[in-house]
Amino acid sequence: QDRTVRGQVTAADDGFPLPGVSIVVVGTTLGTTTDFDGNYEISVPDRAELKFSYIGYTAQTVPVDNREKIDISLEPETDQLSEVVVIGYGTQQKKVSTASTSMVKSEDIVNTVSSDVTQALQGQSAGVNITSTSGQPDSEMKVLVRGAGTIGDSSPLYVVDGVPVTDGIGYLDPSFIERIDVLKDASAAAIYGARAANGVVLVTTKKGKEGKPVIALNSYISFQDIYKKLDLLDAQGYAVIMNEATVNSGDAPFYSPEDIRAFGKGTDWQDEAVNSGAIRQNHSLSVSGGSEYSSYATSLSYLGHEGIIGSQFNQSNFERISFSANSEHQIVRDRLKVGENFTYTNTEKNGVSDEDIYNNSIRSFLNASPIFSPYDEAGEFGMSPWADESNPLGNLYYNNFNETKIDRIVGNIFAEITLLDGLSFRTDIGLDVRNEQTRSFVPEYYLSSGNNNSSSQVTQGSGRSRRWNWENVLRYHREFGKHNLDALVGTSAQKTTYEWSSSTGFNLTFNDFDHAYLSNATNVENIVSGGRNTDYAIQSYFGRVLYDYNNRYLFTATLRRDGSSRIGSDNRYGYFPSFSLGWNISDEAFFPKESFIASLKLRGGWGQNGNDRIGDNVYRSLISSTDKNYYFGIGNSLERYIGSVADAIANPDIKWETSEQVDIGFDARLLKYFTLTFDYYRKDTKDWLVYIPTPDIVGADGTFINGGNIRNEGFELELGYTQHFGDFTISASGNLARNGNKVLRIENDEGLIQGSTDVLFQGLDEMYRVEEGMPVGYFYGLKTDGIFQNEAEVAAQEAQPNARPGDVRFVDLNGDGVINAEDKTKIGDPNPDLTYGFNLNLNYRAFDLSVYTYGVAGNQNAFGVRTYERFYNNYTTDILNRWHGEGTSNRIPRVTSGGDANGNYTRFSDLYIQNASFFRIKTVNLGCDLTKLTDKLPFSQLRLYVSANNLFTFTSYKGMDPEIGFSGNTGDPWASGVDVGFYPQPRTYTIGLNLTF
Amino acid sequence: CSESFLETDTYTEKNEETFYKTPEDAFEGLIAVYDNLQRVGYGHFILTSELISDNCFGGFGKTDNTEALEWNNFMQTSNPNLNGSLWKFNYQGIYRANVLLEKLDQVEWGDQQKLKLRYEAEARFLRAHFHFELARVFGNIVAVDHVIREKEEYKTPQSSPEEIYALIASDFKFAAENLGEVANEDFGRASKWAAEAYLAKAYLFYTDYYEKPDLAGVVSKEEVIGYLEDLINNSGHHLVEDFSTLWPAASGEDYAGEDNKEFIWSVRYVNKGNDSWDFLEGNTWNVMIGLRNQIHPPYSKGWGAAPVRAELYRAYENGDSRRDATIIGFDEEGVPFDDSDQRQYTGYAWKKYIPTASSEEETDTEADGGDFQRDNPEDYIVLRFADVLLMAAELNLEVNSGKAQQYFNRVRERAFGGDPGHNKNVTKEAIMEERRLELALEGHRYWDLIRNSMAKTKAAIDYTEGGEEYSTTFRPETGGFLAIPYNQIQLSGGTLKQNEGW
Repeated sequence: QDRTVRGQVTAADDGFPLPGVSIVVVGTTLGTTTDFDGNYEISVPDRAELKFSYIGYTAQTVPVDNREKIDISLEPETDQLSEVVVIGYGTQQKKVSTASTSMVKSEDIVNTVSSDVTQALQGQSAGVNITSTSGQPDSEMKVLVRGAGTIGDSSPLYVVDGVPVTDGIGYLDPSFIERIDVLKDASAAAIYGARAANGVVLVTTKKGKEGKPVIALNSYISFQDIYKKLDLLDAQGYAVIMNEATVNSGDAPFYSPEDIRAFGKGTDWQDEAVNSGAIRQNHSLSVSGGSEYSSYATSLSYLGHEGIIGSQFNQSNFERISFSANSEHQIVRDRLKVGENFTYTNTEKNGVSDEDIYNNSIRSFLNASPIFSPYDEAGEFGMSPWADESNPLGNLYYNNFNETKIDRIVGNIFAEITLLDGLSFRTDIGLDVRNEQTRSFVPEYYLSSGNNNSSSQVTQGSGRSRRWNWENVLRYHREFGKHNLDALVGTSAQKTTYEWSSSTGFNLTFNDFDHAYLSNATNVENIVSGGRNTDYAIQSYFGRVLYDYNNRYLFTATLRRDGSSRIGSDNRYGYFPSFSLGWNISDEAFFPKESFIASLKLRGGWGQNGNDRIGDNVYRSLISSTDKNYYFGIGNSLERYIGSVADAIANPDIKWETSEQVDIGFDARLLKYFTLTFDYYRKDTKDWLVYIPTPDIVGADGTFINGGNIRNEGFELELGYTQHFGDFTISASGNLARNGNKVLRIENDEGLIQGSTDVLFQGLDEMYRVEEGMPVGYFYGLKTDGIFQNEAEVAAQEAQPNARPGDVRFVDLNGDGVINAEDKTKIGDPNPDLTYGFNLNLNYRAFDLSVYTYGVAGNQNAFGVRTYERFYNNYTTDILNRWHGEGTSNRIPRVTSGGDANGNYTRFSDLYIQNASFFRIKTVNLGCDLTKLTDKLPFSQLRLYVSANNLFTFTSYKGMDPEIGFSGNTGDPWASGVDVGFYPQPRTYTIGLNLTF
Repeated sequence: CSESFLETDTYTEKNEETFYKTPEDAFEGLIAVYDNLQRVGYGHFILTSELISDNCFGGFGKTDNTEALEWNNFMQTSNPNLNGSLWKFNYQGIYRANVLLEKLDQVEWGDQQKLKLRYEAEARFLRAHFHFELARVFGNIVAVDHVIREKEEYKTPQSSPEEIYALIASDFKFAAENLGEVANEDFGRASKWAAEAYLAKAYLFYTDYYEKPDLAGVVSKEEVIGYLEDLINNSGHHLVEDFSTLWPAASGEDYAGEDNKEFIWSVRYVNKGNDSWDFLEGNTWNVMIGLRNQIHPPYSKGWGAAPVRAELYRAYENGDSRRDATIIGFDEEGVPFDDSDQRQYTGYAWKKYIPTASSEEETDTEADGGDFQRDNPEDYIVLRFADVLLMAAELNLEVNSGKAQQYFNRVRERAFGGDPGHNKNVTKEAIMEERRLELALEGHRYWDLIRNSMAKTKAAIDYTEGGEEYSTTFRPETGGFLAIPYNQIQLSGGTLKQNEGW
């Protein structure tokens, strides 16, 4: 017997009606939503129960009990402590959690209008520092949880729906993510053992909810442009400086006054290289829903993303198509549950190089002289008057023919069986398969004497990685009076196989990218190829006890035993324990009720984690035959012989790094509307996996040893605020983290690891290093003390015998009368002291406004965009403040052409160092939900929005972008803040649509 | 899961536990030592030797970095690791030789014990070659006669000259006593004759520079003369008739070939590198001395390093065939060289070793499918019969002056097309001058200078004409040795001591 029930849903705090509340008959797919005035009407069977749910409010379930009118008042969900936290192998009520975690919810991911999930997280959780490495579509972000804990790979472990994934989470469509939880402290992350030393990022994708199907369409289109150009000299300014430089070097000026007048403004290569209005668009469609027994969520999404530099030549583009399907089914009610999560992603991209000084299309157009035209009269790339300078547009075009195509499936299938009351067993098989095909091509071309290619070449490569993991967990969850126990034991096995091959052929029968395939290579004798296969396996046992008494006294203990194939058999297994305690002190009788502090939990923990990311087989001494050939014989008897030797001396004792962390913090609710979380931590990473460069007299490459300690110490603060004022809701959050990074020990005699040379330009000495007592990758160079203003000042010193007036005066730190490498010292630190973010969401009836910001403070960058070895390279307008006569400058030296005898720029000094603190308004998003303006629309949501990304950046940094995760040289993954010219992040304007019905 | 789950295979590499079992494995180990001869390009021993000698200036392009100028002028300002690759790769070669020498005993040789002896002798020959390059350039080096595996040994102090040269001498001596001829299909491998010639070279440098009576107590003067007699009389090596046919650019069609009987041992380079930095089989240093960014057949392009001093060109007498086979005179030959981007232009460039081109458009290396920077095929001639004759003359000066005169005359007569009219009385000075002319641009001159005296070296090298651009000053306080790479001193925790004067 059906009956019709009517009623109105209002908010408990202010009494206003709530439109769009979901009402479901429990155990069925029957359901409806409230209209604009909060009214509803639904036909229900007798004895039915109705569930009312609405985002931001606590859901209520009420029996119908023969009533015809049921009015409901929903309580706003202001109590953060009632939330759930995802902690790995399960969830936990936030109130009883002792872990230090940060959570970012779906809306805050989607509202930032980012094409990459990691980017969306930027600035949203305290202690998670995310830095762009390039503004190119689909470029990786550098993610550090609580500072750099190692000089190896310091990125966190990513786990998506329980499946550990490699290569980050960029493959996911942000709109398909339900929430992201970051496990920061050791007691939370210890359940992931040997891989968790750098934190764990847990991603939960969207699941279906009980009720009628929800169809959602999210679409946007963005227009991008460069947000800041470098202030480079125009042609006339350039000519004046070049003349001064040649005169200073004792030659006649290059240009006559007539030449200079004729130059005009010349070419601004930045304008030529940027594709203003490059388009980014994302469309995703999802269907989700469920019944009492099953739930499902399926989505399809497309992202098309043109880069702002090079996409006009079709050289910088990214496309991503992804399908997702998640579902869960009760096979035997309350006894057996089976489900799966799958995402398939297909991506295609091509990109321009912005890697280092050698292979960097961006750098070439920041250095190009402005005195020649991009194209000549025939439409060909214009030639520079300098014989060995090449047209940077030509360089952008010719040197960036490449494509990467990836098919990837990440998924898992699980079954969960309830054996006894409270005792359940879950088995979960996960798979992450990635197939990658790459192709690159260099045509025959000629741009200059140093930049040309006489035989076309193509490289085709393919790689396939397959990772499977199988996890079995037995869980016991029971309440004994006021004692609550949640214990689990489990096993995990995981294996990754990576196969790769690549071949390069020469002299193609076609000279264009479309036809660049190996079969077209004519120089068959010279096809170069390689291929390899590596395995990596982990086997683990783990257990965890979560216990609380009356939700008041909290205890957690975890132990994991991991074995890794990357470790030699003597040290193969390691144990990773953790303990933590919590106290909901506000539950105590002595705690004043109705005080300023509505609730307060104190917590503290200790634990150990590992990091086994040292590459495969490093503990072995491998015999290599790569590039060890020699030819004997002459004429017809000339023959190649293969040579073999171990390149490095093995260290069979190698073991993982261990990070040991102490965390003390509290979670509080202040008044009714504020939440506050504070954590102090000290993380010591011990037995660092350090690549020790052996002295050359050994003759072998360096090896990995467990040879260093680093300490990251700091605090984190997260503040949240939500309040409703009638129709107006304000919600704001802020986070602030301070981290101090210090190397405690390096196990070699000098107590340091030297950085690479030639980082800013060829011939530059080491500029950053890792050293005991210093932050990782600090800048190491000479201090300067102004400019020699006149001959008398030059003559009064002996340390710089080649100095002339206008040259830099370096500080002779050790006072030995010579300026050399012994005088180098710390001149900067690329690690920020403070990272912070501030986010604001305002909601008034149909309108909403979100603002997301983030910033860093206390760090420096090395600004090294200009290649000094080519004196004719362009300068930024800062050079107008150079020394050009006594008293004109005490900072920027005179200009010269040719040699730099005093080493003004060829020596690394604080002239290169700039403050890189910045504050960025990441996203401003203004939306209007039309369904809240009229009830004529057949949708539950029709939101139109406009948004702007990267709107303002407040910084004193002079480069294109202060945010440089880029290390400048891939040989030193720990280095950062090195600006050799890189792809800046675009400014983006977006219009978008969220449609739900 | 069982424990074996965590045992992974190394699919594409052998590992040290399973390798070095068969004679074939040992041969691969030996090839790896030879391979090390090809490592260095920029900074190669011969380039460095000529840059610092009185034969050349620094050169390169006008906007290039200043390193070549610093070499030329005994400075080290812009790069504290200026000699880094020379240091590094010679020690890498020593490591590879030591690995093989340590592993030879675990190989199952069966009835091939002779092979074992040959590999041992070749490995020791190469080890001595690497040490001897290091010992000349840096003077105070660490002599390494075993694989350094323990970290404690990373801080080994520098060896005394006696220790260094005793190791070099005993290695060469072992090679001289245990190696034989090299068959055609083995061309490029070390022979008995190469070891004998090298013993003499080491003897002369050591006894002259350090003023010692014999080669570190291992080889006496008498024995060295004996080795050279053996080489001169029994090896089959001899002077080719026409000096110019030794050098590709000078001889064209008449080129005597890399396997001519005058060359005793060369580092092999071939144009088989597949245009790839990963398969270096070619000469990567002679592109440095190629004509600055221009081809004028038969001379090919390069970076214009080490322009030849006019004094060297003028030092040859009229009729000396060696001048035009050794040096390109741009005006003299009418080569339309564009010097607008040539630093320290002198009007002269290397003809020995210069890469060749048959047309203006393409280098010969490119025409052959390679890259002009890394696939040049010109071998580096380490030991040449003319050098041996002049060494023998020098050693016999006070022992058998007749022989000395005879060896000296053979070199000189060949230079003048067999005409004995230019012969002169043999003296040490005459031999040194003859070595300068005969062996110019082959990496010998500078070491001949410093083994004689610092004063003579300074007199030869210092250059004050032509203004600041060409100004060159030798610093005798260095003892003629170059600076040890600064980063290596750092890595040694200060155990390595920087050379005097640096």
